[in-house]
Amino acid sequence: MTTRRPDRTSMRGRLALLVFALVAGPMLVAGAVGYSQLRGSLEALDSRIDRDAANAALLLRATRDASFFRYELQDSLRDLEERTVRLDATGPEPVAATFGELPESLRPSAVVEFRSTGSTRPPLAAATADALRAYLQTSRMQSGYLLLPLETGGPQVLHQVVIDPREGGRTMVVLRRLDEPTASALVDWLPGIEDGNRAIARPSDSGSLSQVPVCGQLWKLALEQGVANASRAVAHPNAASGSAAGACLITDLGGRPVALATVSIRDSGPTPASLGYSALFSKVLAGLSLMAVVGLLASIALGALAPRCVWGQIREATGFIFQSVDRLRELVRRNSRALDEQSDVIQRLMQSVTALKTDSLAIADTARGLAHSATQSARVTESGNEQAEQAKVGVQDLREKIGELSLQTEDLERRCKEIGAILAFLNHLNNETNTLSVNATIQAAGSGVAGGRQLSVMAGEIGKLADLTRDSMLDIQTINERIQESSRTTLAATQEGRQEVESCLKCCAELEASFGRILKWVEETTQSAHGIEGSTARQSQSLETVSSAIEALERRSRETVGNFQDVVMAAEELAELGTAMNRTWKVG
Amino acid sequence: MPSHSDHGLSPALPVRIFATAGGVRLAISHDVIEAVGTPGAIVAVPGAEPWLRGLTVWGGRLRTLIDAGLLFGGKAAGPGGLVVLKGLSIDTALAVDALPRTSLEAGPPPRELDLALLLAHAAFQPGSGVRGAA
Repeated sequence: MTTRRPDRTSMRGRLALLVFALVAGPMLVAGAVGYSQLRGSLEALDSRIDRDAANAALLLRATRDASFFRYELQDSLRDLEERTVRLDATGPEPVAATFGELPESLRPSAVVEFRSTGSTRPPLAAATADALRAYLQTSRMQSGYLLLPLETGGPQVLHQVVIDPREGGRTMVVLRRLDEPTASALVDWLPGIEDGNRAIARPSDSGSLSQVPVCGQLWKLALEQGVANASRAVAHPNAASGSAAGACLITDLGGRPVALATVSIRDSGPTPASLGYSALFSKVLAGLSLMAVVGLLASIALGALAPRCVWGQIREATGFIFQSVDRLRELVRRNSRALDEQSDVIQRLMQSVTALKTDSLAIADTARGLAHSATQSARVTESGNEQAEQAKVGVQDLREKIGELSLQTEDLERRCKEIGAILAFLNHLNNETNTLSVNATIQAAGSGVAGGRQLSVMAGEIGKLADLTRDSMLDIQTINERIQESSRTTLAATQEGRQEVESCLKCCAELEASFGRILKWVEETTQSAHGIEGSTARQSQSLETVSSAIEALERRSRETVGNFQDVVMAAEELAELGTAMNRTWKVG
Repeated sequence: MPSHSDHGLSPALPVRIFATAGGVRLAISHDVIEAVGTPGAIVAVPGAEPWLRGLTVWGGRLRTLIDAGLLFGGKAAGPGGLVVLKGLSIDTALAVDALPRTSLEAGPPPRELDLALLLAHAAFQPGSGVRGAA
């Protein structure tokens, strides 16, 4: 019995070992295959994340390149505006002097003067002139893009147009036809928006324009975003061709979209080869998984052989991995959006800096004009000050003469009073003489005819003299009274004149002080104008620095792609989690 | 109308002295005139008629000064002139405004005064100047 027990025990042990081998073998095989499939899935996930990051970078580049192309067009249009402003006439010499230095491709195709009578100089094709007249009713300079028919006929071609209203109802119009590939492609592209239509593309490395197919969805997207914000570029990845495209909307003078500038970049992101084997692995795995299910059921039947905790950890780790993958996708999306917005902000900042630079130059010109005006004002003020001083000297001389006149008038009045006293005395004498004459007459009458005749004659003569004296005295008295009245009037006028002179002197002093203040203000204005000029010069230098900083920022933004290192780190984290799960599996 | 000076050229005509007193024009015959002049100090007589201006001294003699303007129906004469009369019963002088040398100025004819007229005038009688005496 004792010898059987070992046999029975051995048989049981062997049976158990056999059962264990039959159950655990497939389980081990299924576990190994599952582990391999899990590692393959992790590698495929890494590859997909890398490709998404590469595609995001491509989208950014496409968007930026499209914006650069649009800025180049805007710069050339701005250059055309500045040259149009300097254009004096439409003769060949001014046109050559204004645009001759440009390369052939950038010279205007037509410089036309529209007159108020409706004629043009030089003559312009009727269809082109009619298309332009709709935009001539403006009082300020306008520029933009218009589709205009060629003078030689044929389809409409995209032109850069500058409309500059001048005096006398004249309007200068400068047209620059975009180069032939661009123009013809745009014209072919414009009538419809079906898939396969063409737009203008500018590869960032070659620097020349070419055509690439774009789909209608891109046009719709550009139109929707371009109408809301013309400076915003759009990008559309083409998964089928493995390329990405950016686009910018080009509008005409009225803000209507007339063209779409696009750039296409081939998707160079890696396509993981492991994804090709993924299906095969999956099929094999399906069979193995069936075996694993059988093994699993056996393990459950066997009870303690199935490490339930390991499967729970695997499930937990798998869920965490999926969450991480979702988080990585969200991070990539946010980074792409942030880079897009950053590019938009940089573009607006560049526009603001350009406008600020233009304003700074205008302020400098104004400051120079102000300094010149202040200098002229200083000269005029100095001249006025000298004249005021001369007037003051003249008024002081006048005051002295009025004082002398007043003294002489007072002396005259005093002498008139003396004459009046003398006249009173003479009147008394005349009365006495008259009385004497009358008495003599009476005496003559009383003396009889013989003795009184001579006395009567003498009395008559004395009386005549008295009468003459009285008449003369009356005349003198009248004249004296008139002189006194005149002297009083003169004295009053002299007093008024003296007051006026004093007032005039006061005004002269105030005028002199005012001129002094004006001169001081003019000097301060001149200094301020020079200060403004210097400040604007420094401001221009600062703007140059800011512009350089913006360019550096833009370069930095390109490097922002490095932010996707976070993605890589997240992927590494996933790898570590996979490793941890592997260790758990091995331990289990 | 003759004047003082005319009298010298025609001694046969009666000489008259023209005077104005209170708006009254007078032509006084020379036979009643002793002299003409300006009045000196005048002493008023209490209770006398208004035309009796007072007493004055002329030529060393006290004379009755009669206002010719008030006496002959005019206003009071001013202090300008004095006509000393003679040939009357009392020493009398007439107070007049002025003694113009000619009567050619336009105006009413002068009142003629001669010795007979003055002798018959009540004012030139002795005691006539006292108020209520007439």
